Amino acid sequence: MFYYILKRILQIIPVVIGITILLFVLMYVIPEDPARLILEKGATPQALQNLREKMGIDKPVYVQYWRYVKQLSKGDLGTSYRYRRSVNSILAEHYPNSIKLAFVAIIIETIIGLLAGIISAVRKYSFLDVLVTVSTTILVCIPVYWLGMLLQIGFGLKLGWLPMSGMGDGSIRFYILPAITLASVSTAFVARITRSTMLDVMSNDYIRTAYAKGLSNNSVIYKHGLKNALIPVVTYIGIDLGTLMGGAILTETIFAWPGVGRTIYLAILQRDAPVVIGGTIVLVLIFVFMNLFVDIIYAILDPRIRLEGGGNINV
Amino acid sequence: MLNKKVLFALFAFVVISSLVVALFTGCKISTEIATTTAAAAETSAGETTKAEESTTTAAANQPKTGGTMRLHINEPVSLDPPNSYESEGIQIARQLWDGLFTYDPATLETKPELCEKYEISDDGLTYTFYIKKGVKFHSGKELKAEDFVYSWTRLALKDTASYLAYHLSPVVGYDECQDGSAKELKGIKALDDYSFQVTLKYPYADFINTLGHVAFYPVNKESIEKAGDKAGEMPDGTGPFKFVKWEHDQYVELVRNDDYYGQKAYLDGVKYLIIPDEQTAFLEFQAGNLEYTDIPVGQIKSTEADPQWKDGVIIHPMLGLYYYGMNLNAKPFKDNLPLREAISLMIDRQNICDVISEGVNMPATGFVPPGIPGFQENAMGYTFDLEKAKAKLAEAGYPEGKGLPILKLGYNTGAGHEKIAEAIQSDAAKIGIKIEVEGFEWGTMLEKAKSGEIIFYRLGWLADYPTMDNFLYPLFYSKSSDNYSEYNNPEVDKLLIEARSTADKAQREAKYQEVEKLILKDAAFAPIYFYGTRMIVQPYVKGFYLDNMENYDLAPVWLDK
Repeated sequence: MFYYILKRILQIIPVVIGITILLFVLMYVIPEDPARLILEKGATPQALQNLREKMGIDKPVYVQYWRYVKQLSKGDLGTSYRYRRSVNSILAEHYPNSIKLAFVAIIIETIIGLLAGIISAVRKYSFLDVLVTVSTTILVCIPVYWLGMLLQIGFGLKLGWLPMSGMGDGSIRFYILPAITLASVSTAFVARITRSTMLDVMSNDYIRTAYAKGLSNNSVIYKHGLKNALIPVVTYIGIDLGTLMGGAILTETIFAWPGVGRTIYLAILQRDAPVVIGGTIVLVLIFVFMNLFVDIIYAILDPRIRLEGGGNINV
Repeated sequence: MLNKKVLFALFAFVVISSLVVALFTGCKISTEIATTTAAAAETSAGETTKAEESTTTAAANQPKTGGTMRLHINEPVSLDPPNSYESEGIQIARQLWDGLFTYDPATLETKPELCEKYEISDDGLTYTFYIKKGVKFHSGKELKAEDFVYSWTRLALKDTASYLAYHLSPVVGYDECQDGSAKELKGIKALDDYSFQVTLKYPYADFINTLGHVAFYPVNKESIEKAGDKAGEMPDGTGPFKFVKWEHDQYVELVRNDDYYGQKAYLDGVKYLIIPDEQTAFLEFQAGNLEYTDIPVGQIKSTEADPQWKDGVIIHPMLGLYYYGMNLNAKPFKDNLPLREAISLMIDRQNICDVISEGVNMPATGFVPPGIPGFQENAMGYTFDLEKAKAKLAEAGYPEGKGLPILKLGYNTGAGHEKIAEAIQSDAAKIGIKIEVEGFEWGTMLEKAKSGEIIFYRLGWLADYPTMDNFLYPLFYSKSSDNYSEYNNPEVDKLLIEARSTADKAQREAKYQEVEKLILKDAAFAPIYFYGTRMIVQPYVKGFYLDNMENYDLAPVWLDK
């Protein structure tokens, strides 16, 4: 397992190099000039030239790239064109907020989604099952910004129970509405995936055997059924966690959450290449580690899955 | 055994997740305590003022000291004057700094602020400024003339690559600083601690009127050098409020400057809450968590009708022009005055303002908006008239639009411009002009308009200073970099230069008015509307005045609650 993890971590290096080249080329071929974008007034050729020099985009792309790689090897992600601040500090300010919110959302979607899925699978075609099916369908269909605004008006403005925007003092109250909004669609998906895989598993012979040998209902459902049904759910949650950590533009915008999603989104609009590339590199790292984490969970959940390293060493 | 493993994995996952969350929130504890104590201090201060209030109800209109004003804002780019080029940074910088000059909020006339007095040489080229004594930066250092020399030189230098450097372009030595051949701005020198001299390249009578701009604010060399890369986040100003903290994408906090040389502010502090979504900010306002915000488009009429809010609604024209530009060196606009007139005549401006902007914007009647000293009412001879537009179109050689190629109209996407473009498209169809609308990214559009790839486009111009010159010179002087329509009228050029060197205010205004009339006669482009503000303030906020440049001064503001 150690070799496997090491190998996976080493794989990150070519991925990051690939990403930087790809993004550099993409940001370069986009015809828009970041200097032109900022300098709305008084854009004389001299002023534009000065700004390009300041941004470091006056040189050919390979020179820029080489300089970037040199910086990157020292862990320096460069300076934002627009804010003229270090990208490292911009990301350090915003990523933790997105990650914190993502974890709260994941907890919500795991608990509620799993429970709803299990209940509707076990009580197939019951009232509860129909309720879960209908409500998950509705959840998937509701646009996030609408749900967010509804929660704000309901719980924030009308009832006054919860704060409507920002992180405030960082207490959990501020997390509730954005986390619910962020988790809404995924909760529905988790419930649906759990339901369908549970139904699949519960129709297996070994479940019948388990019932036949007199195991309690709960024991059959949770020890035999759920365990086997969890693999696709874990996959979904793992990938979702990676996605959510990358920030959620809509949720962050509606709730004024100081996360990274909106920061990168704005940077794309403003052609702020250092922020876009730096943010993406961090996101790639998060994804790689999340995938690795999910793979390790697989092995724990299902002993038939082996994590294989360089040789043929089994866990 | 296996069952245990499953449960363990699930359990571990939840526990790890909660741990991570706890860890992150845990890190916050120290700051949390700090903010709670600060908040507690605030409330107790608030209570004392309330107690005072009950004893002094007789003096209800007496300003009360205390409280924090919370204003909605977007994430500013920078609080360093040479880089405060967008409205958010400017709003905050205006509270943190006093400039050499400022604008009277009601009349927009320029008035001295840090300046004690000034002298202008007879040839209009040399300005001598005497600054107030005893003004201190927030860091404690006294403001001296050399600070202006440092600040303005820094603004002009190539290395600074300031977005606002162009404000100094009339000053001697500016070009050398920009191209990097000089490290000092030749046109500015300190005479002693409290006076300095500025030399201009050409007479520019409105120079004084430009000096209220944020770009000219004096910065403290020591603070700038100490801050290094963080200069944008560590402002050291001269104004009635001091900078406390900028938590990015969350808030910017200011506190009253008790060492202020002038009338001290009533508010204890100011908190700018960074909320990207106007709708969310408006909800926070309705919940009483904000004192000042924008009214979201779509809710203007209903807010104006709401008895709870109507008194706080601030809707008035701004010094800004929304227009449709035409490249005058490209067919079919080149040398075809009747066509350009027809385009201007066909636009139902009132309809656009009433329907799309809910009455916030005001139909343009010229290039220079109301509120600017010298504004001429109904300067534009052509207003909405379809019959006349048809006649002009025929005169232009395209009766009922026959023979006229489809006009491609460029606009920048994502800011609601397509609604106006579509309205104008349908107006145009009524007289037979076919318009195809095409969205671009902002920078692309500017570039293409400049290079002449797009010859028909929408643009806006917001005033830097309340002068007629600020509209007419940049947009229409033949060599100006903001003259996208490539307007080139030697007579206008000559008059503009003349106006700039006319010291007498009335005579100068008359010249600019003549320029505006000439350009309007040329139908150089089609003005659509003058921008308007759509802000709202809580009824208990007193002494708040939003001027036509959307500037405000929080020093005289107090909270009546």
